Amino acid sequence: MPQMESELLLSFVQESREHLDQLEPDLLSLESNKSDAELVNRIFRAVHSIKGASGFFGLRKILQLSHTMENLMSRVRENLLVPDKIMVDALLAGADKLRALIDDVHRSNEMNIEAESNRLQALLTGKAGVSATSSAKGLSIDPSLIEHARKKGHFFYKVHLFTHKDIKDKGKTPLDYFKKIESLGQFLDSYTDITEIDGMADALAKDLMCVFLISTVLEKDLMVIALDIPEEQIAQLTPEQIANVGPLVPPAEKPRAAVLPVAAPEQPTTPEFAGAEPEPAAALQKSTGRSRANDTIRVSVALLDDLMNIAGEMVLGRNQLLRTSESIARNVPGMHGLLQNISLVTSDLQEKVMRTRLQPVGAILGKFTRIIRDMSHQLGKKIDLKLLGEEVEFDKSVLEMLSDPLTHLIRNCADHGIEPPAEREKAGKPLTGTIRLTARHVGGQVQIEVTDDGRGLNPAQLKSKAVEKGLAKAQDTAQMTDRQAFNLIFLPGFSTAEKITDVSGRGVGMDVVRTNIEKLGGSIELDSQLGRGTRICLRLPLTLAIIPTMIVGLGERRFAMPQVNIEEIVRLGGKNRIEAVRGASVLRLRGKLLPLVALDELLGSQETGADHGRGFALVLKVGENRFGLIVQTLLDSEEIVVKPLSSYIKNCRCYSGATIMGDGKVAMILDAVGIAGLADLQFAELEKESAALALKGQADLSETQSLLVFRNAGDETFAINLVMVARIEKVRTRDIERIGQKEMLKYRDSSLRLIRLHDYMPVSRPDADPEFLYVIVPRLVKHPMGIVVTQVVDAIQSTISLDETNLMGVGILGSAVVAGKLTIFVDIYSLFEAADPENYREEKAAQPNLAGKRILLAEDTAFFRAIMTQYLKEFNCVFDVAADGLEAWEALQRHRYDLLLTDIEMPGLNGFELTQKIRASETLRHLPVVALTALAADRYVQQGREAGVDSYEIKLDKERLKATLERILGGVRGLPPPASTANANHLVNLEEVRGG
Amino acid sequence: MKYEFAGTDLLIVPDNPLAAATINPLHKELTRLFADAGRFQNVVVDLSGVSILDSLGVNLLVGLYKECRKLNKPFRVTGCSPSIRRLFDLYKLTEYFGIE
Repeated sequence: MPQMESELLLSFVQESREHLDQLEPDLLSLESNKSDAELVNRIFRAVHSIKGASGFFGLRKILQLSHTMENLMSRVRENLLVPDKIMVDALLAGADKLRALIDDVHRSNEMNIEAESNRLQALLTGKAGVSATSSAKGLSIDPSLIEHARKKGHFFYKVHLFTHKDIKDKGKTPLDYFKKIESLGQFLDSYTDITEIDGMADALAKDLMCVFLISTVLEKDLMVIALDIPEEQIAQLTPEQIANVGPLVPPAEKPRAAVLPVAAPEQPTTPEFAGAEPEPAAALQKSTGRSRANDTIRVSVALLDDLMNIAGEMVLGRNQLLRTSESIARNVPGMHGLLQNISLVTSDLQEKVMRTRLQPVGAILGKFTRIIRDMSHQLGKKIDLKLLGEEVEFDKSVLEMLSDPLTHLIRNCADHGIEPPAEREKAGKPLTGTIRLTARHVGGQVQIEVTDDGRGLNPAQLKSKAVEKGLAKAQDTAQMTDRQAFNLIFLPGFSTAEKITDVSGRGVGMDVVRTNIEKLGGSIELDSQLGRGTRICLRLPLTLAIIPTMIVGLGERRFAMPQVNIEEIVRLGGKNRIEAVRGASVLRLRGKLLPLVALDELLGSQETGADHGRGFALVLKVGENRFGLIVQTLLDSEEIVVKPLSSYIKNCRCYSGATIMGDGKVAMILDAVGIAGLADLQFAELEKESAALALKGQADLSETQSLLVFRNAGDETFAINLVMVARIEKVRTRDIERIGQKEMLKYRDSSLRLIRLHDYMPVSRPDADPEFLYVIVPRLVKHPMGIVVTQVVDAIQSTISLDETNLMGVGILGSAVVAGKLTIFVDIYSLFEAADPENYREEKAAQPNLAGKRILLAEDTAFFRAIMTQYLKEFNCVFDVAADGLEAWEALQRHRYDLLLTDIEMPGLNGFELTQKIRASETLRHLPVVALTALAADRYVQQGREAGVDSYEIKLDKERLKATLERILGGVRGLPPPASTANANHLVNLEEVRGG
Repeated sequence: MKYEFAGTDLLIVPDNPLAAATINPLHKELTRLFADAGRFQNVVVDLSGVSILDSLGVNLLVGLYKECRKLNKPFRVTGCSPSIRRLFDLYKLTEYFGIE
């Protein structure tokens, strides 16, 4: 028995919720359709049903509250009370409480319903303030008067009169005016809307509206002349309309005995109100309030979800069947037809099942009526909400997720968009603002439009706010179009209201709205006209169950990426090189840095070692940000059926679901948002970096380094500066000859000695030589040898911060993270020294000249600083290091140096400026200055000469630098021997040029 | 306009006419009185001297009524001439103004 009872209770709860769902819109329209008998009856029945069942279950509080509500409604039904705002408020509060009780039905008996109960009770006993009783007075029209008028063939009019506009401004007094009205016919009833006036402060300014009902022999056009008011303020009511509005009247017998309650404080107060009835709004409200048809049954959503899944499986099964039976079908007569039939039925089944999940959008739009009603009270604004297209259907899941963003948009319109009545009046707009919510189907998608006729967005204000909040740069906003400026409000941290009100701004901004809409695979667009209003347009897919995707491959595995996330696809390689910024891989795409995530690395896939430089980057959009996802192959674009993830892998952030492909294999659906989160992409940092790069532009290129990245064994990655590389040769392993301990390669008519990294450096040794090897031939060395490596990874442009302490040893300059990998920088000179001590030791011994010379090195790039430091150490120089020009200048003031070795591009004071200062100084002007540069351009030579530089050296050419230093410091004349012919034209000796 | 405090009552006696020409000083005076609303409990407007009432006069009385309701002070209009009484009837204001 308890089992059965709990099932019954569950069904009571469910049923009551449905009643309440219907109750709210009904109550809201009750306010404007006071005399709709069917509406009143429906409300009565809903409350009555809840009351009846709650008694059965012994739910005392629910019983008590619903009973009170029922009593009240029955008084309305019997025309003893006329619903007004106060009553509707009380009933709504009661409905809210009922919902709370029913939501927690087991504890409902302990909950407190006193407040709601008392409010309703007060209305019943007529103590709820003036309004209730005056409403009751509205019923005091003598039915005989109406009957009498009808018999005499009078017309009935409902007249809206504004005491200032229609009486005072025309130089009349109300007394005269009403005397005239009474002379025109029979005055039936009236009321004055005194809600306009708040107190003494605004008493005189407000135009009071008086509504009265009159029967007269005059036709409408004559009434217009007689009353001297605009035609639309007079509405003629036909006897049928009076019959319709009158409740509980036997249709044929005494239709005119019906009461026409007009005491309605919430009548539209705009001067433009439509006099003709029925108004469009009324028609809409009717459709909101339409009762549910009886030819439906209740099915649990879980069951529908299952059905949906099964239908999806069915489609997949069908696809597999079609594929595998292709060959058989030709041989078996009739088989083809059968298959086709199954195929069609399956598609049909899937479509129908999908439709079971569709719900009219009215299900969520309805609640906005309530929100706007409450808000307009709270904000003291007059707002009219118009809903159109409530019958448009959506997938349930889309609908549910749409509810919050839409609420936010509507609240925004009411709070920020619509102006207070006074402001609207000044702007010459109707006092009542209108928010229009329209849903419609547009090409396989649903479009929801939210428009208001409020103050609109001010592009200039948006721009300055964005700049003020540090969300955009002034120079960027200056060039923005209005539309781009409107889009600023979608930036995180942007709020248009001057102050955050409790009504709309709750810390969540439009950025959240946009993210949520995009999560649904939709888009959001905003347009606005200052002073005229704002229009926001949402476009959403009908369903989330089937989505268009791009199928991408990683080794044997396949993945689906929803197409809504993909902005473009870039083939990597060639110009589209992967670079490293702050240790992260990036792609320079049309001047912007795009952070990259490699799918295989992200998934910790076994198939790593794949060459990322050769794959594809899917450019994905996540909110405001974009990033690239590196995949190996692109397969196809396909519409897939989304299946939920099993609970075992539900917490994998990079997947949003799974699907089964035509061949029966599973493909995971990638989640762009999750991937961005998982990879911990630093969008903001990159944005800054991007901007900085763009600013520094060309000059900066000389400070980033061109690196050759290669591998010798396994994953161990090495790099050398490209300046040091003369060429790279691809050789067959068997072409390498061995002479004693040494490996040699025939190279350009002579032989080149080869050395292996692992023979001299503390690094791993490859297991076996592959068929091909690469030989890096360096330049800027006296006795070239070829460095053998197994794999050349890439040549990349990158800024590096070199760490000299982490990894140390022969041939190692230091380490840095390049393209996300720890990379060892090879010091060719010390490597060669270790490999060929005879030649290189000799060198060392033959140069005592530099020992003890005091040199100041000015270099802002840490990488070059590290290398130069090493060189100077080897030269046995005494040296100081300055990180920029200013620091160098200061050092020069404090100490005496024999020579300044300076970089050219430095922040603050550059190399030329530093030299000019030195040449201008009394004490320093004879100091030799050697400039270092990575690129020797003619203009630099010219500039250097003008500044007074003594000599120009290419960075990293150790031999050449040494010779120059020796020549200048040791008094050795003449050119140093060229290190390699390839480089000779880069070298300029200014002393030679000057003839000095 | 005359006014006097009778116990807890504030008795307001407007001059004739209660209309556009005289309304502004009256409105100012009343606003000043209500700024110190602690001095009285009930507000009574005596219209026995008023025979001419225009729209602004009606507005002023409605404003007074609303102000009193906000302050929780009973409000009453007395001494209406028959025609003014009829006007309030037509406007459905008698109830607000405590006119029997």
